Amino acid sequence: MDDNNQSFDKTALENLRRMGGKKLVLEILQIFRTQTRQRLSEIMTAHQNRDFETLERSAHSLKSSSAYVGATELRALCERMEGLAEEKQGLELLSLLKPFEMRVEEALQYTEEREGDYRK
Amino acid sequence: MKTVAVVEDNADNRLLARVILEDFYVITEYETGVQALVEFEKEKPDLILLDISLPEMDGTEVLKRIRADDRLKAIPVIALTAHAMADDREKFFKMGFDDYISKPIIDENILIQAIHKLLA
Repeated sequence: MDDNNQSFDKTALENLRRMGGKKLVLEILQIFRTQTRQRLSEIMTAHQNRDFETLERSAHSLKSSSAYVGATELRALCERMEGLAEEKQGLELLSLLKPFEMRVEEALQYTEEREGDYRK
Repeated sequence: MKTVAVVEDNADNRLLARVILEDFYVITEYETGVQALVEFEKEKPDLILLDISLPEMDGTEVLKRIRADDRLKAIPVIALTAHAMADDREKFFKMGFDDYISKPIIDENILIQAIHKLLA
């Protein structure tokens, strides 16, 4: 992935390294990768079921996790989805699901690559 | 060493809080408010870091139960929230929180100082 990709803020992982070394960075990356797959599935199911409460909480949760790994665009999208879920805007949410899936895949790829970098 | 309980459903936030605080305090971790309330009856922490967006029972309800319990009501409780806005401070104090910390935790010193101040 392009190192100048604007979707990601590399300083976020460096901030984690400052607080807890490479070990912390690697653990947070692993947690992100596991949790994000769960959240994606939760959000898709919640949307199908019009379960706005679960969707709001899952988007809120992923917003926070995205910030730790520097996935800035995913974080912004989660924030928007959280707000729409609070307002029960099902149609608007539907229009965001595809871009959301794309951002998630992008973030998973980015975190996999960074995991490789921090293991060196 | 005093005990700080971290009540937070996101594994990344729990991990980060533990890494930041474990040199100063014994850390106990709970994924839900219900689990935390049950355990607090057996072992009372000296301070509680309480997420607002928890599944099953949200952080504000957990706080109400803590404040209604004679054994627990004097424990300082710090809200952990990704919702925090500049004008939220008064709102959290009115609810009965002793302080609040915004997530994601970017500066560990803010968290350490907030806890040190309440446990001094």
